[in-house]
Amino acid sequence: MHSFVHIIGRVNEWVGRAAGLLILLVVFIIAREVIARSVFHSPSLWADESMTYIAGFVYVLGGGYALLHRRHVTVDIVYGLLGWRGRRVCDVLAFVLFTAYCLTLIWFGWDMAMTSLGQGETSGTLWNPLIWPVKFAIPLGGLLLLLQGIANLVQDFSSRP
Amino acid sequence: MSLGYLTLLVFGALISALIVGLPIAFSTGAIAVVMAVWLFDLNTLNIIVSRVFTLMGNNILLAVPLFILMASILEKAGIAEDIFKAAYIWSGKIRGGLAVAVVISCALMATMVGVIGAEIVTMGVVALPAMLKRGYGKSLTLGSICAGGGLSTLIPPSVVFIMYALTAGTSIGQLYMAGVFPGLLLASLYIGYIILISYLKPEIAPSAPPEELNISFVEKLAYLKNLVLPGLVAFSVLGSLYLGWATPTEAAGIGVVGALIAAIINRRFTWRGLYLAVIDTTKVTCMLYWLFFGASVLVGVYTMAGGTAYLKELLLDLPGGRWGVLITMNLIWIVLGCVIDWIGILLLTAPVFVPVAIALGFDPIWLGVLFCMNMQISYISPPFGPAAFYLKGAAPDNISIGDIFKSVWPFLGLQLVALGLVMAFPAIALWLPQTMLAR
Amino acid sequence: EKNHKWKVQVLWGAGEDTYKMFQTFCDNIKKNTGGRLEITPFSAGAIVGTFETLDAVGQNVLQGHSTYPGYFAGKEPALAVIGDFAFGYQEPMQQNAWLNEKGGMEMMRTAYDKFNAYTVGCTWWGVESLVCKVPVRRPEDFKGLKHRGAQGLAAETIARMGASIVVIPGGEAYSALEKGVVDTVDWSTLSVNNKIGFFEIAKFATYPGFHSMPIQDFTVNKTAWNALPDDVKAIVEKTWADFSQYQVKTIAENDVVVAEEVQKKGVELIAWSDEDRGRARGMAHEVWSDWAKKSPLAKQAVESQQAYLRELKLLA
Ligand code: NA
Ligand code: NA
Repeated sequence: MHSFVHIIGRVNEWVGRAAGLLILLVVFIIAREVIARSVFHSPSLWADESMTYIAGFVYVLGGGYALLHRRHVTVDIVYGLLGWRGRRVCDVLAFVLFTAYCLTLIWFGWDMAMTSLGQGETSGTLWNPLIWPVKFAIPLGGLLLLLQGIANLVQDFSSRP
Repeated sequence: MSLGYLTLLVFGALISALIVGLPIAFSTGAIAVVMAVWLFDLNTLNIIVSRVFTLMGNNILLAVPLFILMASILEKAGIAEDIFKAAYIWSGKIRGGLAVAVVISCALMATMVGVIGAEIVTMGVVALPAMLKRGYGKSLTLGSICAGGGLSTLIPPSVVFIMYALTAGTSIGQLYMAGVFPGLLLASLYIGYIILISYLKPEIAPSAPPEELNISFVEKLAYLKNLVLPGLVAFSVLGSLYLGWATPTEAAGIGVVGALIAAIINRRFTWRGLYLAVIDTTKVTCMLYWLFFGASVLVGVYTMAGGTAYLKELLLDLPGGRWGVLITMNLIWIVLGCVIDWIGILLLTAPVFVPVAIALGFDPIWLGVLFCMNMQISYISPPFGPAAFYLKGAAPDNISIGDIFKSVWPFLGLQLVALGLVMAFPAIALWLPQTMLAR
Repeated sequence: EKNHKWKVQVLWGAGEDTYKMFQTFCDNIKKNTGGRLEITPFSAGAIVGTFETLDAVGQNVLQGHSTYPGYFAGKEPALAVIGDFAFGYQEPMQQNAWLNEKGGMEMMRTAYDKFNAYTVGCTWWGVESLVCKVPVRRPEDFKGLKHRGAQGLAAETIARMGASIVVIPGGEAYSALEKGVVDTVDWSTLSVNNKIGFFEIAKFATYPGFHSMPIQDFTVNKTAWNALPDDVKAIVEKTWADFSQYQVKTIAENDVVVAEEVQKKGVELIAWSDEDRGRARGMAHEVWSDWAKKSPLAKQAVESQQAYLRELKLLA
């Protein structure tokens, strides 16, 4: 169990770091585009769409990373008052709801991405890139999130009071 | 089942999910899933992933990580501290001077940025640690940052006004003009409150200690040179916008470049610092994106269940005439603002509110200003308070989300006062656009 | 007998006049079918994103959408050339004739068929008008300008006239034009452009429009459609056809009023000469031909419309 927690943590840690570095790519794209357009009068068709989707892509994948570092905002007014046992009961209830959301993202997200792949769907804009790679971020992000949720639950249960 | 009960049930379920410690981002998402399956069928869950995908392609969100990264680079390079030292020394003997400086900085920055987040994060890294170090009360500090930061969407440019205009079919330019005086009104109320409370409770707003006050004018001038680099960053954002080089989102990216250049010139750039700034940005932004995903899917399912129609019934069945309707609209905005984000509120309520208000003879531009002022409230009202989340992302670890929410109450009160004033005296909003149009 | 309830999402914001018009259509459906079909309209983005409505209709989450088919050019390129044959027609009723008499509607239905959707009919929200900060009186005037293009063929044709195309999301188009990031914006019709406030920051507009005349289709889930009794189907088709005429007529009348109003504000309305329009159509001809290569159905739709334009003596 300990190694499971450890491995999931490592995976999400690296996904998060890689995702983080991509934001620098976005900054680069913006700087390049602004210079190309205002200095050289040659705007690109791809800058706007690529930067938006890179950001969307990485931050969907990073949901598990934020959960690993327990950064998702909670309202702990009641939870904070409970003892070890009470908190674990709450954790289980919360986990059931959490799983329903993650499974939706995984199952229906997979469906959406596979459909898009099957259609060879492009974004339909002037640049018109293939759009399914972006859609696959949803099931993948959901999976990473679910795994991290399980890891956190295991970790909380093994932290004896 | 009637939608009234359903609405109560949704609120109840949401609060229960929050109570058992489920993060807000997943509480909203999970309640949406449960509601979709219970009211409709499994097939309906398709709209949940569809809405997530739509948000992934929404470039309004993109400015969020960029501004956070900019602020974070400024902080890691020590430039933030420089700005603040200069401000502190110049603010001198004024009690609460730093908190006032926060609000003024926010109002000034608001003329550059049109999304909420940038100012809060910047003030969170620039002002917050320095104020706490100098003995300012936690509540006054956190509250003035959260409230001041919201001004970015009331003082133009503003993405809230743009989205409202596109939804309601009104003029963006007129909304911009209509936002100016209500924005200044709010800022003045904040400043007035800060000065008042500082004199009533001097312990939470100390003036500068003698060793920082008794410095010569020449030395004071020397501190100003610290402002040159941050000025460069501000110029890179403002300049690129006003010179027509960059769109608002791109300007945020240019701000990051400006911050990097400032750090390099200052000889404070390190790869380690950049890495840490990127990591911080990722953690905060992932958290925020998922919050918006959750809110968006909940709004989608609630709308599908007939939420819009319900709001309409609620409005039309009211006694109290047109003002009763208008006040109810504002109450609904305030309640919704507690649990979802402004885009969701706009999509949910605009289809009903705008036509009803126009039919009752209210000005849609003024309604847009009221909407935006309500969104000022929604940014800081718990439990879904984006301003608080942004600030939490930038604040030191010993500041909890609870601390932040405890700090916002007086400012919430001031927002209600300002809202009431603009409702009672529409001219506060409409005078400027009408004067400009008449020219 | 079962009463049918549909959810239909449109591309309009809730405050727009066109949204109110669609509400009228829904009321008419209820009245004309004696309540056997009830359509609840939803504004843009209310249930799913504007670009995702086709998926939702195919899945029967929405029973229909009323939108610009070109939004789904990434799924089937024919939907772009059917949805807006840029620089082609002079006014909506010409394309209407192509749809109904020259097989256009069948092509559209074939395009939508693989997504489990069926097009009941089409309407138009008028001829679009470009908002310009500098006068654009002929194709050559686009040279060196930065143009905010919407999707598709119109922008590609304007690029051939010498403009550089800048891709800017809808929410930033206004600021971009105001600050001079772009010189011209392709947004909507004269009256919508006026309502959004574009003429507070730009003093020129092309009018009467010529570059773009997008279709607003009414497309429904096939299963939902087939579940309707035949007489209800007929009523829906008839109600839509009447509505289509009504919308085109109302908007055209309104545009005339707005045209006077904006001129009073000091906006110069620029009408291109027939000769310049003809030359622009010639350039668009090359763009259409490029699009014809994108799918067999796109080829069919392009060639059929080119032939029809020759018949109308609009194309050499
Ligand atoms: Na602003
Ligand atoms: Na709130």
